[in-house]
Amino acid sequence: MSRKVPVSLIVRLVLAVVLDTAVQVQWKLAAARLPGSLSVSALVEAAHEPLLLVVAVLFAWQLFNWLQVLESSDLSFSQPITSLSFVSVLAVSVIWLGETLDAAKIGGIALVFAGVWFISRTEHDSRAPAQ
Amino acid sequence: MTPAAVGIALVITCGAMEGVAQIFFKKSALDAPRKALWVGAGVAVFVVQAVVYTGALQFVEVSTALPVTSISFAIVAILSQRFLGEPVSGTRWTGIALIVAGVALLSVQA
Repeated sequence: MSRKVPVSLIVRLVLAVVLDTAVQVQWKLAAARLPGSLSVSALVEAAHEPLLLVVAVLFAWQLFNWLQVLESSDLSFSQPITSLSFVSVLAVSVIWLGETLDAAKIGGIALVFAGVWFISRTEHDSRAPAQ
Repeated sequence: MTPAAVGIALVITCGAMEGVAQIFFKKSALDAPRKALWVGAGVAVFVVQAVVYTGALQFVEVSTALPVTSISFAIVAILSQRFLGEPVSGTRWTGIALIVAGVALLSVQA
């Protein structure tokens, strides 16, 4: 047990947040291009939507990376840290998708950062992942 | 039950399913001989969770559902303590509470 976080675990946690952000933004973009009806032909058409294929690949990469994270850290330590993706998705939405930032959202960002800081201060069983 | 209550109950169910899936994924790291089994079980729970979440969105808006999904951070901590024996200290609980409150604020519509 220690409070030190191995650099390799930090890299994997950052990758987890980046991939989660990419999945959520791509999903948002893909959903906007899907047909509104739920007919069989509409679903077949949706399966050929390139953005959905990108989402599927990102999902697989995200799962692989997450399993690597759990190989080398406590679940109750690493999982709350991925809440940073709520902040990064908002950042992407503000910068590229025209979403607005208000006082509540700025407060939310501050609370999420504070929460992650508290988590990072706790004793945990995390070590460098096996290569 | 009102439609909104049904929707929120379904979203809380999704939070619980997220917790179970994460326990299965962590088990895959602890139980190497049955790694594939644990990963498969986790993925299966995730798929069912996606279906339940889609159903929940028939009853509540995403802006209502999103803050409720953050309950999964608390559920994961409880299950990690109970089934994995992980130490969840007061400091860690404080962090989780701040994150849940932060995600709720991020979902507030101006």
